[in-house]
Amino acid sequence: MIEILEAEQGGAKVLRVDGCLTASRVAPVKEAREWLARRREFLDKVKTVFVLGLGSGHHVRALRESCRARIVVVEANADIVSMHAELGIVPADVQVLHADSLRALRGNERVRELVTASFVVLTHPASVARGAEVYHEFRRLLIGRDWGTLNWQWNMRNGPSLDGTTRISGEDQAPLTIYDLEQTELVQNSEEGERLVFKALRELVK
Amino acid sequence: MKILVVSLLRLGDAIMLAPIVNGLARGRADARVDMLTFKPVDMLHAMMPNVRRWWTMDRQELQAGLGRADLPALTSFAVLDEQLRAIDAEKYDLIINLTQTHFSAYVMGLLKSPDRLGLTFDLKGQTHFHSPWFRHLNESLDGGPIFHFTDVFMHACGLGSARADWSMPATEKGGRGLGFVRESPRCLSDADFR
Repeated sequence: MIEILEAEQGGAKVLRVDGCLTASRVAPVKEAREWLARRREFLDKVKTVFVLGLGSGHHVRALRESCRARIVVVEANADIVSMHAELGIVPADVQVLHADSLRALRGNERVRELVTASFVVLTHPASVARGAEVYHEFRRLLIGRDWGTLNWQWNMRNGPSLDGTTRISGEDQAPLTIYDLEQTELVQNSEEGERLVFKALRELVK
Repeated sequence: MKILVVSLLRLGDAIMLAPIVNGLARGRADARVDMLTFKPVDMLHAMMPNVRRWWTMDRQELQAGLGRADLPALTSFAVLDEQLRAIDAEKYDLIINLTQTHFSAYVMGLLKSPDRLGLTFDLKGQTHFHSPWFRHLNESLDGGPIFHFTDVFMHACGLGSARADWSMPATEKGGRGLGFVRESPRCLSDADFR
């Protein structure tokens, strides 16, 4: 069940889903700005910002106010997506996608197109707390720091397949880094220009 | 003539390029000089009015994207690739690398231009300098360099016979800082300028 509540400060609308608040009941706008202040990297450089979780939408509005990139929100709960047409908190130029499984997200044509350019991923903690499993999988797919998801992203760019060997450290569960990319078939088989970009980046962490 | 000067080191290195930037800008009536530096160095833009457009790379952000588990693995790759394409879209007639680092040499190899000067690694991994003057940077005599690197760069850019113009106009912010120091000598913080 979804309820619409009013925040104690400022009267902003807050959604409560199955008894769980999706934003601060006291000051959701302030909370959203503080959330954004903690993660500023690349926001003024990338083409797309993926936000995992729509919640009450205040965090998306705060992001829109300070970021010119395309914003795509992925929400696993279809009822929350429907409710937002009524709430009017999320700006009209923000795209909201409903995906309730990893398969749905991987198959989404818009997502497949957007991962071919630069992007970052922000997660909405209250949404992730409600649907931890599916948001964890969404995040893993978009972060691309394991062979499978990185291979998927690279294929979307029409790049060659990754080598099947494990990461350099031998710890399969640890996130990938530039050290792994430099040694893989991904780089070895890339076009010369792409290979040179990797070599340039590698210089930055020597 | 559109010229891009690449200086991917620190603030002091970019300050030492003032005579080259001034010389290039005044060398031809149609010269337009742009700079490519790391992010903090663009604070010099107000003091280098001969630079038309200032491109910046955020070194710390690119580094963070390479290793931090909460950032997508390909973000630094995509951001750098897109920025280099944006620079290429300016269609520079000449690109000059006044940095002697591997990173800058790869950047030079990735940028497209009909003419270039300075350390470059091409797509086949070969090294080019495009002027014998750059080789003097590594020469030493009795343990010390023979030439100051600003002089090497001046000669490499064909400005060897020109008088080095070190002028950098004062800014309002700098003037206020000087006033503070004269009144009470101390280290200044950003708060002093607000």
